[in-house]
Amino acid sequence: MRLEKCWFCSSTIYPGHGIAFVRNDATVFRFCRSKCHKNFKMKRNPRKVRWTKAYRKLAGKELAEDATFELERRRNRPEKYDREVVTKTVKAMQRIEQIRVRRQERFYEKRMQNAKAQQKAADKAQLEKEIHLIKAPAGIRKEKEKLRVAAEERMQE
Amino acid sequence: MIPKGAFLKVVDNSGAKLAQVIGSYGHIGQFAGIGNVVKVAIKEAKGDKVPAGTMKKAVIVETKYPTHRKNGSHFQYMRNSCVLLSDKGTPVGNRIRSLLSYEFFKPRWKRLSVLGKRMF
Repeated sequence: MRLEKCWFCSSTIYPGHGIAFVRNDATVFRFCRSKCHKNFKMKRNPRKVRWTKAYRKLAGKELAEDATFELERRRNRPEKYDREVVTKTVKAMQRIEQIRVRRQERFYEKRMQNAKAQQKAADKAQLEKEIHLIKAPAGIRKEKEKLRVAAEERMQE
Repeated sequence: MIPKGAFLKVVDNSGAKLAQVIGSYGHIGQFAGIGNVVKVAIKEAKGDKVPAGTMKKAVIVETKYPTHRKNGSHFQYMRNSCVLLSDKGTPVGNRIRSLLSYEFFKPRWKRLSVLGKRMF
């Protein structure tokens, strides 16, 4: 049993799911669900459709090139069955999955590093501009009065 | 899902181009699918090997309607096509312009499968 990748969104296609389309030039396109199949029929380019992995990797939103992807590359030479090789491969798959997840999380954190500071600055600006949406004008006037009095006292000293 | 009267593109090099289904062999029912043998009438042909107007047997190799495999997968092609067979069941041409599916891996279609390059 082979788990294929959807041509459009790059998600895994599990057995019993999706449709395979064979074009007249003998290229096979596999789709995980009708959403991807319909987008393909609409002739949309997955590299421009924002929710696909192809777009995200191209736009630098996700880890694109990494050593952890090497294990998943398709090999066309069948290996002779060896039980030790199989157990080692299974263990390696699990370990590599852990490493890959960790690397992807770190990539995301790095990408979002400045997001928190930016968000805070934006919030502060909004607060100063649109305080009238939260506080009543009388309350704002009173606060301004208080600040003015405090500033005058400081100037007198 | 090929009913009687459907037009099929002929994808071997027998000379015929278009064939129309006029009957089926065996218990197929209303619609024929990939791997079913049907009786066809040649509508368009190039050359003399199989002239237009003759009746021949053909096996359906591609359908637009999704074919269901027992492992749960479905696959479909861009067109409906067939390969002409002689009365005995052996292919008439010696080259096939189509990607055959694993339905033709059976010993019954040994002669047919070797004409193609690989199987899907």
